[in-house]
Amino acid sequence: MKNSEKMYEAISGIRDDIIESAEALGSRRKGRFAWIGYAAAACLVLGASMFGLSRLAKKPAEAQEAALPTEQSTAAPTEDARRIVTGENGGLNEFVPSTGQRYLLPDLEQAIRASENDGCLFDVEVRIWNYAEVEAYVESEWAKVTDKQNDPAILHYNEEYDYWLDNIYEPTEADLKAQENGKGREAEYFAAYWAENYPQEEQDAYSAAMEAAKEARRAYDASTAPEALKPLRDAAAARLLTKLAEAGFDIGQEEKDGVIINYLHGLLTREQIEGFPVGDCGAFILWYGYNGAADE
Amino acid sequence: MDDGRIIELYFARDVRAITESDAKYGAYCFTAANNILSSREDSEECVNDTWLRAWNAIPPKRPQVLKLFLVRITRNLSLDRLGSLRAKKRGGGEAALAIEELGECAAGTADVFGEVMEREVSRLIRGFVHSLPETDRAVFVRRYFFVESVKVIAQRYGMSEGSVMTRLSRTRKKLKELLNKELNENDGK
Repeated sequence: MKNSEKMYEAISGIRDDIIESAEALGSRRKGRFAWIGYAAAACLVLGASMFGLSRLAKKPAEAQEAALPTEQSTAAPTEDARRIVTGENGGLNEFVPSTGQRYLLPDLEQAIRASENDGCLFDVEVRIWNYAEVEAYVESEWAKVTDKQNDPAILHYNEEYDYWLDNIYEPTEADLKAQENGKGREAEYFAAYWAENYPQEEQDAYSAAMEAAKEARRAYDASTAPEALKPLRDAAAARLLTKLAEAGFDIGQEEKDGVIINYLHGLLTREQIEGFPVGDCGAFILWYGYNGAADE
Repeated sequence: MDDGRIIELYFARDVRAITESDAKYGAYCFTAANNILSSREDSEECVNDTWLRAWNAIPPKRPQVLKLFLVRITRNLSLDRLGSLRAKKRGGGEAALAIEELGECAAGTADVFGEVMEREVSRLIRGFVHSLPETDRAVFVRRYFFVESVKVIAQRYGMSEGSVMTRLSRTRKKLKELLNKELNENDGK
């Protein structure tokens, strides 16, 4: 491969946030007449906000009652403090938070800022990803696999394979063509060469090590399958919910429990959202309810 | 369907993960592939291969941004395919031009592009792109990551084509200086 092509491949490593910022810039700079669109959008937003506020003001009494204030929000017990703010997520490009990351849907974040911290409650869904203890367990299970994969007999085989590929193997035209189509048979050829040219004890050691590595991988797949991790995740979720309840969060778990995500629903204050505890998990916080056209 | 649900489907080994990915990001990935390959048929094949790769990668991977995870796969598949097309003297187009442009930056570093240095080059480029002013960075990403033509970038950002070319040229010059400095110094020259 030429240097220019390698340079091109190196560009693949550009970070996600940089690519996203390039896309975001695209939507900001639309040319000299863009202000017309923005002005129209601003009018729509203003209209929608006024409509939304009047709609909220007319919420039935029971809905207002359901929005029981949390301990934090009762600190300033005004009628306004009970105002519930809702929103729609549209088609989500979801960010999957790692342990320790709290990510707010940008639209929700803007609404929080615009609320001027008046004590209102935001009707939100919190998606919990990547519990620290589940991640630690998965990592420890994976370590068992890599341990087996790094068996000296396997490493030796791999070294010999590289040497054979660089110094002994002479591909035919047909081989090169097969390689281009991603159907190269080099590994197969080397296996035959290995069986023919290496001492039996080396072959036996390699076969045993490979079998152990495959078995470790099978065990890993079984022990880290979503259903196998579910009890661990549910226990972590229960602990998180207890912790949240103790801290005065008005939040509970949704029935639509996912395979790898826990879905929580609550009416949270700005402080609770911005300070949502993520010491042992990752949290993506978005509006509760409608989540885009295909989400029904 | 939102991305979290789609990732859930991959984890549940539900084939709807693929149809949902295709419905939501098929066109996006196709555009990325077509920018590189300029061939509808080849691009469609790369997009189809993208879903298979994603299916094999998730789990265990949990992509932080699904859209970019998928488009990276498409881009890599498209570049691989472009390589074999070029070997057969087919294909090229915008990607060939973009590759040649980037080749300028590597001039003078001919003997430091061994396997050992590839990671270092990637690291340098990542840092370099991050340090660019916002607009130059966006133009660079559009040209060399998404392989968009100068004309399309100009339309996208409301600039003249001349402005885009000037920014790219300036950025390539800076990158070339950086690579020459860092790699040749590291190589003891």
